[in-house]
Amino acid sequence: MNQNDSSHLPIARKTATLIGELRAYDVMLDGEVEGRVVAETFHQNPELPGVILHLQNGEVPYVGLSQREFLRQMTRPFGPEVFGRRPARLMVEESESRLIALSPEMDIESATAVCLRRDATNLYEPVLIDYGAHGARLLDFQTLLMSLSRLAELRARQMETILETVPSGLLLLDRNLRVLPGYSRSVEAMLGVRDFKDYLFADVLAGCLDSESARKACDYLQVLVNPGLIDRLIQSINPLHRVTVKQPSLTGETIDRYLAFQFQRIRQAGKIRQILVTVEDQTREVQLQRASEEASQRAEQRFRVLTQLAGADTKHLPLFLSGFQLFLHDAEQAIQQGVWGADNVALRRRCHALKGEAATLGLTVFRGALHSLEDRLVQPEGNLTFLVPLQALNETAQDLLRLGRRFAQSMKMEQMDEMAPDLAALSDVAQGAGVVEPKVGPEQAFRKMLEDVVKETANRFSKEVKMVFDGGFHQLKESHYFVLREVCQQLCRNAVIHGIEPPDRRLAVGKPRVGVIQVALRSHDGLIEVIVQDDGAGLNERVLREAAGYAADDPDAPDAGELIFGVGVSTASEISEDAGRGVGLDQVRARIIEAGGTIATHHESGRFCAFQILLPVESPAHETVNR
Amino acid sequence: MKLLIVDDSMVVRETIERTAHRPEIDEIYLAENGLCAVELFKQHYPDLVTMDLTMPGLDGLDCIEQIRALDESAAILVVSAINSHDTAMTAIARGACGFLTKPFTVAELNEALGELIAFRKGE
Repeated sequence: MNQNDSSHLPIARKTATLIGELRAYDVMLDGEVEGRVVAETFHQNPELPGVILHLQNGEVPYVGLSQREFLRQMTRPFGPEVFGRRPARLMVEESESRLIALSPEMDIESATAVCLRRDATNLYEPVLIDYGAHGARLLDFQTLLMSLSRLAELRARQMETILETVPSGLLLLDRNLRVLPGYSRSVEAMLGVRDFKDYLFADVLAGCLDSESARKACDYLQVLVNPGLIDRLIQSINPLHRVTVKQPSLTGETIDRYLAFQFQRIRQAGKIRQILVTVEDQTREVQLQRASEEASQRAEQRFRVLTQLAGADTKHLPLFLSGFQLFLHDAEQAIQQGVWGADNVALRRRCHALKGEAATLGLTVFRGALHSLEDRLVQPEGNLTFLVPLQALNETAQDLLRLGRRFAQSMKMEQMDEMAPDLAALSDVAQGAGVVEPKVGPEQAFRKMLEDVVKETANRFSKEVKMVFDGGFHQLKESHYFVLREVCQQLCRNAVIHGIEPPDRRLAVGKPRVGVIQVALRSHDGLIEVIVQDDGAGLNERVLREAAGYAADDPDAPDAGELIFGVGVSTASEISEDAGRGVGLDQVRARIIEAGGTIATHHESGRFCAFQILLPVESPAHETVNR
Repeated sequence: MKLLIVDDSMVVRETIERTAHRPEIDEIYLAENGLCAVELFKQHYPDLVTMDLTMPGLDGLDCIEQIRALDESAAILVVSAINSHDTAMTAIARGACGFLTKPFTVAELNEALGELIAFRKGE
């Protein structure tokens, strides 16, 4: 007797899923043997469900004779006498029904279903597993049922494991929209609700969504059980395709989770029986999307910076960028050393001056960032986060300058000419970056810068102004250059904003339409003298007195020419990027005094205002040139 | 099957019409507003309707209601820029079977028409 011991099969280590993998019997006898031989076989092997008879001339090569059928026939009157001496195949022919023959490839569930459709008399008969030319085996029905039971148990365990571990939220709702048992564990974590089996799903959602989302969810759940709707054509109105769920975090704070719900209606016999709900936690995706958007904005800003840098005056840009970088470094130190805000007038002054330079160079991104920082410079305490936008700009500028240098190094000039003008200009800037001395000489650079300041400011304030330069200086120290550049820039900007009247008003008071700012540069007697004069409205004494805290008609109030240098004095009615914070002439004077010089005012109401600056050609011993 | 396309935009009507030329559809009717749609419906009793919601005169929601009163079996697809949950719920309550949100691609429209036809056939 052979029995296909499943432990010898190559796939025996896993739970059987096909009937060919189950333990079966292949006891085979010739169909012509007498019934008593079969009786002897069953006597010796009582556990056999039957024997396989090999037919010499039959329609099929093998038929099965179950022990039950054999005994049924043998116990009939004269059974042993009749069948004991006749060929065993006749017992099969006498039988009212044949054993079911199935392929070894048939799965256990299907085979069981086929067997269970047999009538009650034959329900427990074995199954003939037909291997075709390779023979046949008999499978006990009890073995089949037990294997089905093991398989069901395994599947239940597997399902449990899946539901415990699957990251997706999976749950089933019945027709009444109640949660069926056996949902994935991750749903509880996603919703922040535990053990909600048998609850109405709308109630579960109401516990974790805001009231409006919960209301929409409730409506949509009712839509899902409406048979008059087309499954795929209601997905677009799913209000839960992305919803925010607020949950307490481990640290006690409330965190937002972004969940995506999908619903699938399960039909049986055309009727909606269940609804499969899948939930995905998209928090990470949403965070990545936001990070991507931020990165995109940064890239856009980098592009703007590139465009502005490339379009800026290539002579002054390196100077500005080196000043900007140094300012950032000093601002960082000021924050770390706790000398911020009111304690650090010099820093405020530099910020203001840099902002003016940025405006002149058309670097609006830099101007905006410096303007925002200026607001923060009046706060009592500094924070390194204040500098983040400026550091980003600095990094971008430095990156782009490096890129420009590489272009410059790798390309011949004729190639550069063929390139986009912006990139070519960037290369020019990059080549000049870090070089403090302007290529055209300090005096021309100085004039050009002031012209640019005046032109840009006048445009923004709708004024018409002409610059006139007089004289020149022959020896300009680097430190003086920086001081005068900063101071004159501020004075010229002030002249445009506060001094020069709008064209209509000038005409109304009998002045030429175009205002004039005159800058005179002289070197004499060991001094550098600079005069910045405008033919505007002069100083408004009443306004300046009030701004400085004096009564408008106070006879003891200092002269307007003195008041204008007061700390925090501003006559601008609104804070703009150009004026209004009272950070201006007080710092101009401080800068001049710091450089060992003096500044004086001459003015006449309605006619002019002039600032006279005197700086020694030689720097005082204490001066430190920190550029 | 007969299809009635209701939309006040000629571009949308013609886009749907072009896409709707398929073996299952024998006749196509076009209506540029709700009143015209109801009249055409009474004459031809189409099996399928694509319905815009925002139209002058009789709007889509009212039009769905009137068509549903005439024929319970017509399959009505709302083709509109659905930006309100409550509007969608009202459309369903009045008898819409599904939604195709504007703007749509031809592939999406084609797929939606396929679903609508299958639904009408009872598949």
